[in-house]
Amino acid sequence: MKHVLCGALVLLFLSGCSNEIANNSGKARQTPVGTSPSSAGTSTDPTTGLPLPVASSTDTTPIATNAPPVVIAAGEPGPTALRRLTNDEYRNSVKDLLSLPAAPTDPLLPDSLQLGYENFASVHTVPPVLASQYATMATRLAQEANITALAQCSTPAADSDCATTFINDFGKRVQRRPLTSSETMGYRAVYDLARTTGTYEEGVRLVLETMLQSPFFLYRTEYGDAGAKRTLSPYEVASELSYFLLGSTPDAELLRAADSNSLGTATEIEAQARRLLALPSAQASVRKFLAQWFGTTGVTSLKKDMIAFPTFDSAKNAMLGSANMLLDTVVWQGEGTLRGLLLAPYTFANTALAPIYGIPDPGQGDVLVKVTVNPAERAGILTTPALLSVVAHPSDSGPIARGKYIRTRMFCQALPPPPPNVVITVPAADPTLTTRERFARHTSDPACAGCHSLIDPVGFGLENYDAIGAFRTSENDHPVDSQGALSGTDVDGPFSGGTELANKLAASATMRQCAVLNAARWAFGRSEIETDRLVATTLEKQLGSTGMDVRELLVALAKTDSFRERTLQP
Amino acid sequence: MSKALIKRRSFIASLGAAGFLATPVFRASLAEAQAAPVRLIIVYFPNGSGTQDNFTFGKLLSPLAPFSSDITLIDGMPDLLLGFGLGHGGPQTMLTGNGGGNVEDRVPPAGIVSVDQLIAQSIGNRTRFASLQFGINTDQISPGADFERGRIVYSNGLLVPPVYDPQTMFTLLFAGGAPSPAPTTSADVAKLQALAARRQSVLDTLKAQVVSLQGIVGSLEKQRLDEHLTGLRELEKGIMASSGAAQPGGVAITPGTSCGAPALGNAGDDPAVGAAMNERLYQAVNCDLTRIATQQWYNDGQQVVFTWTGVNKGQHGLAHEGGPDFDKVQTWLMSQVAVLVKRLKETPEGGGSMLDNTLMLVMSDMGNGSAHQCDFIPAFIAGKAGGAFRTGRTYQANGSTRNNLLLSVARGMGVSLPYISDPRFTSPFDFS
Repeated sequence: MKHVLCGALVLLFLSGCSNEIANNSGKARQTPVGTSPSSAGTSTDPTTGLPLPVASSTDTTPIATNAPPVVIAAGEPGPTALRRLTNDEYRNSVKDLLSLPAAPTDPLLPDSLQLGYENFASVHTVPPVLASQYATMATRLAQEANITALAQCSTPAADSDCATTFINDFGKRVQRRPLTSSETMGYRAVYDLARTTGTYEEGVRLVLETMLQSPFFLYRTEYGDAGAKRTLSPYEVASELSYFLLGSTPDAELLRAADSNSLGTATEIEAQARRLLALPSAQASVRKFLAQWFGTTGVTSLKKDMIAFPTFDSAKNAMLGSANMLLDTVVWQGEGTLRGLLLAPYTFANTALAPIYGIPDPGQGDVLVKVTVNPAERAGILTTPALLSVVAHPSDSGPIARGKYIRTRMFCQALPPPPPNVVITVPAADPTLTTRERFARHTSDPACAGCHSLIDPVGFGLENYDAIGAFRTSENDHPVDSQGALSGTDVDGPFSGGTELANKLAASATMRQCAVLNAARWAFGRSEIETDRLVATTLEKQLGSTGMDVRELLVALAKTDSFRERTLQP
Repeated sequence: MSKALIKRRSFIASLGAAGFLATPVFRASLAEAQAAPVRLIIVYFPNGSGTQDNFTFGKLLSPLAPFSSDITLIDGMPDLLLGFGLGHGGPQTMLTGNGGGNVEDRVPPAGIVSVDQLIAQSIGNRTRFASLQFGINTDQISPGADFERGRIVYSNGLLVPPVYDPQTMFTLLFAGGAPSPAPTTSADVAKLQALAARRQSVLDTLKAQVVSLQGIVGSLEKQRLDEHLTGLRELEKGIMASSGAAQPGGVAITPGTSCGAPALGNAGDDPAVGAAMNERLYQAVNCDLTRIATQQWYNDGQQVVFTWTGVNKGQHGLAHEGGPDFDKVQTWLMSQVAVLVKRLKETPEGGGSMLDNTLMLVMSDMGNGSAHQCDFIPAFIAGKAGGAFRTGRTYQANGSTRNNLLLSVARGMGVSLPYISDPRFTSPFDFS
C-alpha cells in the first residue's frame, strides 16, 4: 500500500524549513480563497485506483477557511466583531448586575482557548448545551433575586408602570446600552404573559430570567455606525473598556460617560481607563491577561509522571498561587513593568514548593511567603515551576516545547511545521543519557537541523529545570549542559541558563513588541493583524525605555484608534 | 454497572426553581419503542493502534472479544485526506471527511460538518436532543499549546464541544431528578401548562432577539448565531416534552418505566468519569432522549498519564514511542468501550438486544500513532443497525478511504447522502 503520512498532502505546499523565522503574520488568513475540494486534481493512487487529492500548483490555500471576508490593510482598524462573553465575564457581570456577594459558579461549557486566550471571538458560540446551561442558571438567579431591591413597586396599582421602568432601567444595565422600543416591548410581552397567571413579582422574575440569557447580554457588538470603516458607539467603547480592564459589565459611571457621549477621544478614554485600573477588580483582570499570555494558568490541570515526580500533584496548586502572586506583586507593588516580571529577584513559596525552588522551608505550611531567589538559578516568571511545568512533558523537560514556547509566546515569531517526509519518533527515555543528548539527532541530521537549530538551542538553555521546574545540575548521572543560544532576534547570542535567558528577554525590543501584540490579542479577542504590528512598534518606542509598564501599556492600547474603530466584515 | 434510580421527586416539584431543565424525563411512546429506532453511537480514541495487526481480538481488542459476533472489523481503510499538523488534524477529519483548514491557525474550513451532525439535521428532531456529545477528559489541551485541537464534532463550520463533566451531563439529561409519571390531576396539568407557556414566552423573545442581532452582524457571525438559534429550539423541545405536546417529528412523548437516571456517582479520576459517561450515554439512548451520540476519549495531543493502567508516561509521547506500554493504554480504552457494548447487548429489545438496533462506530484519528501515519485507520462497527449491517466478520476496505465509511454510516442511519464533504468519494462500504 502506498505509504500515506498524515499531513503530507497539505504540507506539500508549504515551504520546507529554510532556517528562517517568520513573523506570526498568518499568510493563509490573508487569502480567503474559497476553492472547493472538487477543484482538486484527478491523479489516481496506483495501488488503490482511487483519485488522489491534489491541489492545484498555484493555489497554496486549497481549502476555504473561516477567514474574514475582507482583508485589512496595514494601518486600517481591526474587523467588526460579535463577542460572546467568556464564562468568567458572564459570571462577573451577573455578580455586578445582581449585587451578589460572589460570582456564581453554575457550570458552563469551558471556553475554547486560542493562543492561550479564552476570549477569542471567532470560536465562541452558544451550542445547545451552553444555551441550556444559561437557561438553567438564569432561571435559578431570577428565582433567587431580591426583587424588592431590583424592582420595588410602591403600590399594586403602579405594577404596570413599575414593570416598564424595571425593563428599561435594569435592561439598560444588562444590555449595556439603552433598549430599543421593540426590545422593551419584547420583555413587556414576557411580563404580561407571566402576569396572566401570576403576581407582579413573578412577572419581574420571568423578565429577569429572559434578560440573563438575552443575546444582547451574552454578546457584545463591535459594529459601530454605518459604512465600511466604523467608529464604535460610546456604549460599545464602554463595554470594550470594562471587559478589557475589569472583565465585567460597565459600571454606572462608565454608562453615564456613554450617555453623555464622552468616550469618543483618546483623552476621554484614557481618563476612564485610569479610573478603572484603580478599582480593586482590575488586579484579577490584569493577572488573568498575564497568566494567559504566559500560560501559567494551565498548571493545575497538568498530569506528570507520578513515579519520577511524586510531589507534583500536591504542589501544583501552590505553583499556580506562586506565579499569580509574583504577577500581582510585580504589577501592583513592584516595578510594574515587563522587565520586572522577567527579572524579579523574589518569588513566593510554601512548604510544598520549597524543595522545588531549592530553598529552605519558609515554615508557614501552605501559606505562600515571599522569598528571595538565588539569582544564579531563578529570575521572574520564566523560571517559576508553574511555567516550567506547563512548558514540559510529563516525564521530561521538553526542551523542544520550551524552545518553541520562547519563540512563539515571548518573541511572537512563527515557526514552520515539520517537513512532510519526517517520521516523528520521540527518542525513547534512555537512562544513560541526558534529555539534551537524546535529542542530539535534531541537529546532527540535516533534515531536522533546518528548523531545530532555531528551536532546540533556546530550549536547551533551560535544561537546568526538570519537568516540574526543579533546578538540577545533573541528569542520569551526566552533568546538565544548559548552554543555549538565540538567533534571529534582536538579542542574539549564547546564554547559559534561565536567568541569562530572562535577562536577554528583558533587553529585547522584539519581546516588548510581543507584549503589545499579546495585549492586543486579549483586548480585541483575535489574533493580530498588520495594524497591530504598527501599534506594537509605536508603543514599544513609547514605553520600552522604562521597561514597559504593564498598566501603561493597557492604557496606551485603549487610547489607540484601533480601540475605537473597526473595518466592516460583511 | 448498576442502575440505581435516585430518589424520585414529585412531578410538580421537579418543575420548580431548578427551571428550564427541571423537566421530567419520559421514554418514547410505546408505539415508537415497538419499531425500535436505530441509534448511532460514535466513539473516538486517540493515536491509533500501532499496526493494523494490533487491532484484533487477540491484541488491543481483547476486551471486546466476547462480542466479536456483534462486531465488524474494518481492515485496510486509509485516510487519504488527513490534513494539517502531521496527523494532528485527525480528530477534525475523522467525522467530517474534511482534512482542510488553516495550517497555521488550525481554523476549521468554512461550513465543515461532521457526519453525526449531518444525520442529526435529518432525524434529530425526533428526540429531545438532536444529538449529544460526551467527552472524557477532552477539556485538557496541552496548556502550553497555542491552539485548541483534537475535537471531532462540527456543525456549520463551528466546533461543537463535548460535555466532559458528568454532573453537567446528568443535569442536562435528567434535570437532577429521576423520570416522573405524567400529571394526573387537572390542577397539576394546569400548572404544567402555565409553566410551559412562560418558558415558551421567554424562548420566543430570545429567538426574536437573536434574529434581530443577525440583522446587524457579518456573515460569519450570522452563522454563529444560527447555532444559538438551534440551541434555543432544543430548549423548546424540552418544553414540549414536559407538557406532553407532540414533538416536531411527530413523536408523542409519554412516560415510560424502562429508563432511569443513572446514579450520580462521584467522578474523580478518568476511569470514574468514563464509567459515569458510559452510563449516561447508555441511558440517554435507552430513554430515547437522543438517537445520535458521540463519545470522545481524550484527544490526540494530550499528555494524559494513565496511572491506573500502571503506565506512568504521557499519552502523546507514548503514542510516538509505541510498544507494550502504548498497547496497555489502548487496551484499557477498548475495555471501556466494551462496557458500553455490553450494556447495549444486555438490554433486550424486540426479539434481540438494543445493540442489534445500534450502529456503533469505534474509530481512531490516525493509524500508526508512532509515526502519525494513516495507511490504515483502526475502526470497527458494533451492532447491526437494525438489521442493515451484518456483523461477526472483517470487512476489507481495500484502500477505500474513510470518507466512504462515513457515507455508509449515514446510509445505515437511513440518511441518503451522495458523499461526505468530498465529492470524489461516493462508494459506501457494503456492510449488508
